[in-house]
Amino acid sequence: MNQLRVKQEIKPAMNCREAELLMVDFIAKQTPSDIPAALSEHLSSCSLCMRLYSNCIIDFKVLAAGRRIAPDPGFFDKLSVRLQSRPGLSIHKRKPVRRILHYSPVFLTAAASVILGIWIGSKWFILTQAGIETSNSLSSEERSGMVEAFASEMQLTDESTLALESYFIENENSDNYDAQ
Amino acid sequence: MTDLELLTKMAEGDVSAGRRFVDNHQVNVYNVCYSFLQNEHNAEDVAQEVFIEAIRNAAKFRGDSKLSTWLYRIAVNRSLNFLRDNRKRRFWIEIDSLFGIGGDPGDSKDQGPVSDDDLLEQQEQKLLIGKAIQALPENQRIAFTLNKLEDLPYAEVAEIMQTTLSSVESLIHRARVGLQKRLKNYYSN
Repeated sequence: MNQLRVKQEIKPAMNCREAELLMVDFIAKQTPSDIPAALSEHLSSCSLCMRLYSNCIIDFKVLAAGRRIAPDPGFFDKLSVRLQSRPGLSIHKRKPVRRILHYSPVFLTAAASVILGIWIGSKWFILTQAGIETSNSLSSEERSGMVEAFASEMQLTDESTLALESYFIENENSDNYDAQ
Repeated sequence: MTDLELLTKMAEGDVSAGRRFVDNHQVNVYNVCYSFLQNEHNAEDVAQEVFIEAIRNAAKFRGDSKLSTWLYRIAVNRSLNFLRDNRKRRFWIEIDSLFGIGGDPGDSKDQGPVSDDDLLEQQEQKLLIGKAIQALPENQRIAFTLNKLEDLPYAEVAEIMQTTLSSVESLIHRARVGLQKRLKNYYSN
């Protein structure tokens, strides 16, 4: 019974995970009185959570320093100036134009290099085509010789055909002899 | 005179009504923008844009929700758009430096007051708590910021986000768990 009581005293009422979740909930609360008693109790008994909480609070105070608690008296005048100077234009609409103007040298260089590449490519293509045509015309001259050679070969074939014909005719005659 | 009447008169060019309307809401609108942007100059810039949009769309306001809720919705959307644009702008600045156009970081001063604040913004982002909140998924960040930092009730957060109450509860729960893990990691390292 006595041991059980000791355990209850040592163990904090809230575990670290629950405490961390509550810290997140009360991150924006600046005064210690806003923090629930259970969290305060845990923080006083857990140094790790206390350090985490202190860091969060310090950081959040710096971050929240830019928040306003009272209206800025000059806000409406600035808004009026803005409304008068740019009635149909918002800050977001002007950016792309500015960006295009800003990047125009890069885009112009890229476009110029593409056009130059196309021009060089077309020139090279035309020259290559002309070369092919020239080589074709030269071979046509040579081709006449080849044709002649082919014709003579055909002539030989013709002669051989004649020889074969005469051979068969002779054989036919000899066959006739055999038949007789 | 109600807020809606003030806004309508402001849109018609009534300066005194406009001043009253803006003074009634500027702190809340500015603080919402600041919670998302974590930069004073940008928050002021976006807060002005919120009022310009409200004036332009005064005729479209149907009165289904409170005028302040409508203003918060515009403020949240404008702030998130600003952050997206900023991310794109940073990408282009990196492209700049890749091509060698940007030169020294000091050269970026001629780009206007927004670029001027880059250093300050970077310093502010070094704050781990801000970094942890900004690292949350967008919906969780909106719900958490409006409820925990701006102290708005769940019902109003749901109206601003145009979602259900249970969805807001779930988003805030997930945001809490996510932040708890992040903060523990950040501060223990």
